[in-house]
Amino acid sequence: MSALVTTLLAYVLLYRYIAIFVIVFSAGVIVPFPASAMLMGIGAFISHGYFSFSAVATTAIAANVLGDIAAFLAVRRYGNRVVRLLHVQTGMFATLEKYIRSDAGPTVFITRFAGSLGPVTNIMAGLADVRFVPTFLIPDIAGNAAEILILLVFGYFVGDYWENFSGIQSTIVGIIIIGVIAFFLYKLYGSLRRRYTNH
Amino acid sequence: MEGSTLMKRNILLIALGVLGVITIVLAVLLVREYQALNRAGLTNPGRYRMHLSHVHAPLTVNDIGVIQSWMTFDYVNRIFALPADQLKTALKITDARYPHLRLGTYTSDVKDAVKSYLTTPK
Repeated sequence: MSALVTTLLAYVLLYRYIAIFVIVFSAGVIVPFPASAMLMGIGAFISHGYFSFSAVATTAIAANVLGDIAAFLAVRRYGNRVVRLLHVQTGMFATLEKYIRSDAGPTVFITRFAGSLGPVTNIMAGLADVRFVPTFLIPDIAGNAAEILILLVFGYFVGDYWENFSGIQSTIVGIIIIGVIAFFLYKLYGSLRRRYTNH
Repeated sequence: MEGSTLMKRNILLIALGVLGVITIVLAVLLVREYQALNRAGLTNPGRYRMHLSHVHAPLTVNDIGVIQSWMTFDYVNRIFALPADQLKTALKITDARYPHLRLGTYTSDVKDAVKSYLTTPK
């Protein structure tokens, strides 16, 4: 188990629901905290009766959704200004934005299970000016609720052995990340192939 | 235009190939992780059925290994059902933050104290 996970869990034991909210919210915004591994650990704490399942689930889902919303709305409002200030080439962004806009709901939902790709998707969805309700919000709530409940139930089920499963969990997250990136690259490849064939 | 599209297409093909290789590596890692869990007997659902049947029950002297330095005294008291001041008295802790305090350097002493408490006939 990484030192960062143990540090976060120590804060969770000390400051309980406030720590859960702050950590999960920060992870939702952009801070690369290992929130998934931490939630499995909290599932084990719940199995010892140290936390209430419903209170943890409500706190974590609310924090994650609010973190995602904060990042999405901030980028939607100020993102393009920042992109212009940084003189980032907009060609690649435009292509990515087009694909994110066309598959926004499924992309937002599936990336809730893809660790650090989730916050990146929030930023891209904000830049692409995806509709907040229902296109962003509904898949975001559904994805976050599903991910958090799976992690808590799994941690609860395996109890003190949860640490042994953190490796397998991060490998699965890695495979999901690769799958999402491959899906977008394949779509891009398809459109380039069509353009080349037309020429 | 055609040349640039062809080049982009080739770059994407290479990127997809690299992702394919990474996926294979991750799949191998996944199998190895599963095999490690299997060797440790952690893929047997029976083990967790036993754990689930004791959910919320205090841990026993066989579970001392669970105690780690990042845990708090409050948590250890709760999971082993120790009296609130048991560890404070046994380890002569004067820190006012007890029991909301990380075990830290006390970890091995805490293990000994918990073991001693749980094995002493009440």
